[in-house]
Amino acid sequence: MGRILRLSRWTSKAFAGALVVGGVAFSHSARAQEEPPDPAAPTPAVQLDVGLRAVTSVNGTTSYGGSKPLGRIDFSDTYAYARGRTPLFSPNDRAGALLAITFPDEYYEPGTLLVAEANAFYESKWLTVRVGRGRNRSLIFPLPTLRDDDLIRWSDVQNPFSSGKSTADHQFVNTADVTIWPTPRLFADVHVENLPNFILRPDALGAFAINSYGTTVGYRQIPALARTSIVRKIGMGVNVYRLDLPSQDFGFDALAGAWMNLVPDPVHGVDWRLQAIYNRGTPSLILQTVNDTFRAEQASIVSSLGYSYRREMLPTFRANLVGAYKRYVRDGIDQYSIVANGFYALGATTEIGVQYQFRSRPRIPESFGDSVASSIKLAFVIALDTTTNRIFDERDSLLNTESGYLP
Amino acid sequence: MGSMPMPLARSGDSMPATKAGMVMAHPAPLPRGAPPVGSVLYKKFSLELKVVQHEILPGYVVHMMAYNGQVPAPTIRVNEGDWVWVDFTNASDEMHTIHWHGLILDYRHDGVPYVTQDPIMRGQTYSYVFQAKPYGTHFYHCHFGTSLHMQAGMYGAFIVERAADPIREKFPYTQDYVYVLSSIDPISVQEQMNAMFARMRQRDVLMKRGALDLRTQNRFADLKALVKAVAKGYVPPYLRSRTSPRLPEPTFFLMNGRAAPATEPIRVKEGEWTRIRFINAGNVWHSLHMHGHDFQHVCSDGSPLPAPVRGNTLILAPGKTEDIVLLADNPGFWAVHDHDVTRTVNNGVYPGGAVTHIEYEGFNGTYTPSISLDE
Repeated sequence: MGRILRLSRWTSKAFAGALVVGGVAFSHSARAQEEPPDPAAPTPAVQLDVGLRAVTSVNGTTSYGGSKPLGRIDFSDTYAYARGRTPLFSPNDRAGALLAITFPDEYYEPGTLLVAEANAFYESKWLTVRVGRGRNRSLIFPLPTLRDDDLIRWSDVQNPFSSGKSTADHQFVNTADVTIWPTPRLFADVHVENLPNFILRPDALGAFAINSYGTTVGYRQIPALARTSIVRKIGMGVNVYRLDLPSQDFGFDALAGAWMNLVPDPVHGVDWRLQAIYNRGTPSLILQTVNDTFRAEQASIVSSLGYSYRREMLPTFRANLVGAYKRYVRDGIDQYSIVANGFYALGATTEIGVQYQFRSRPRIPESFGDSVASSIKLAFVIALDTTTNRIFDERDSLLNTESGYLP
Repeated sequence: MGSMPMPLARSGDSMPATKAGMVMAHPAPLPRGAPPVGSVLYKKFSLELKVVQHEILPGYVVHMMAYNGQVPAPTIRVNEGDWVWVDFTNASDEMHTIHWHGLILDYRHDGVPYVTQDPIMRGQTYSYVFQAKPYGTHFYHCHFGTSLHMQAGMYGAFIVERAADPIREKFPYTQDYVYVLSSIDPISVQEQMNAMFARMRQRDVLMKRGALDLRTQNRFADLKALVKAVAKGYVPPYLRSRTSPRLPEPTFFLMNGRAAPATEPIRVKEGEWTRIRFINAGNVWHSLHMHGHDFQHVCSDGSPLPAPVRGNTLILAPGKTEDIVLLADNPGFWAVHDHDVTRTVNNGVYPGGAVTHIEYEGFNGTYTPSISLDE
């Protein structure tokens, strides 16, 4: 199961508790293995960010392929993280560690946790470096769906080595990436990744080998001005991955996206997102298995239109309409989905909402699941983030962007 | 880069009056009793507010809000009875005013937002006009978002001199120092400045299309209107659903914008009197102790005391000004420091903070001061 951990309920709670203090314990445990702490050693400040995101919903699904309607209580995408950051001796530099766990998918059992992120990173004005496990770089921006995998087949570059067991296969990877920021808003990264591979390389060593190489360039508006600027983010990327098949050594994918504010207004805001992905994959592949749907040559496009109302500049209500389309080139099969949702803010960090999704995957073999389905989800979402011992300003803060950078 | 080290604010270092006035983009009424423009010589000054990088200590630089790029702001010295005209231009994203702390003037020039005037917006110039009175040591500071803006550096000395100076008559001082004390929580300042500037940018958008209502600005005509709004669902910014309670916890204690060992020493001449004006523009008390000398405490809030008080430790409350005179009669190097030693640290590391020392001109001792950063 790779990085999927199957834990008992008790163990899960213990693990979550340990996560909260993980950032503090991490540095000491590494030292403790070597020698006792030196009382005269420097004790640099550590900024600790801790967060919990509970994404819960009651789902109802109706399929048009003969299956009975299903009701389900869903808490997938619930997420917890702890991130510690500390200054380095060079005054403009900092380093940190991040550990995050999530309940990956709707169909996993309670007690199943995924180590989504576990990495060490370095940050300066011009450079960020990340090594470990984390979100892959095949994403320009998130879509405004309830969960980040609601449109995973359209929104993310598909991992050609996924078994289809978990959508996390397409989201989280072992990665080493370097991002250069020539200006506060322009970025270019190069990355090498291990796309989890349990299809072509079932042996443990092969499954974790570096098998993807890519780059992403783009423009990202700083968070403080994201609501009031026309352009929020524009980016494009390309990735090459090793297939090591007798007939094909490499595959590649390319993606591009733009996120714009059609109405850059802090009270009545309208935004639009558009992202396209082309995956060369294996052009000769005929769809026969679930894995084939990740490896076959395919092109997808997804777009959303969102409205947000922030009465007195406080979160109040938001609604989104998202459309997604994909075509498998070899087979000429089309897939599409439409998502409509609305969320009402009970507080600055708490929302209730409803999401409707229609999904059509005609002419896909029955073994892949119902071809046409619709679902409705009644959602209750809480996102809690807190920072203790704040010592840093962010690299892309308003002050650092417009009044000269200070770490 | 950062603002330059604050020059010693002695008599000769005060801000020069400007030659010509500016066009007021945001006119204020002339105060009651003000002479018509042109009938008297107004002493004119220009102040501009902008965000700077200011070095508190070697290697420790923070974003601050500075009048004319200086922390503290330039010292203004005028004579009692002068008519003063200060053009203040706001070149920052945040709103500001200037309050003339300790001066007696027309209320419309007192610089308190929503009480005496509207705050001054980005790009606007507001003219403060008043007669310099009463005599003594005063200061000026922003009165908008005061808890943040004063921490962030918006303060400077305002000295009203008198030809027949009652202090000089008793103590013929030859040097005149100004020390503005302050305290700062740099992380809190940074966090609040970022939030405030971001909020202002969003409000700018609403303002440009005429959609910035009072409630979005968290403003109300009176208490009754606030009570009514809360009853109708308005969420005030001080509720826990909108804020996580946190007060600034100062970690640096500054004398003229710098912490020890970067503070300027008091340079004296043996046998001569020196006047030292202390202004507390910060939010903590100080208990300044002088080694090797007794001083004469001569003024409080600018006003001469009925009789000088001899002592070696001076209590300085927030918002107070206290003047002392010192006879240099004990050559050597002498510490002057806050005796609340929690104010003599830099980021918790002793020594530092509100500390300086007295140096005698031409003195050659067998032991001379050096710098220790961590005892």
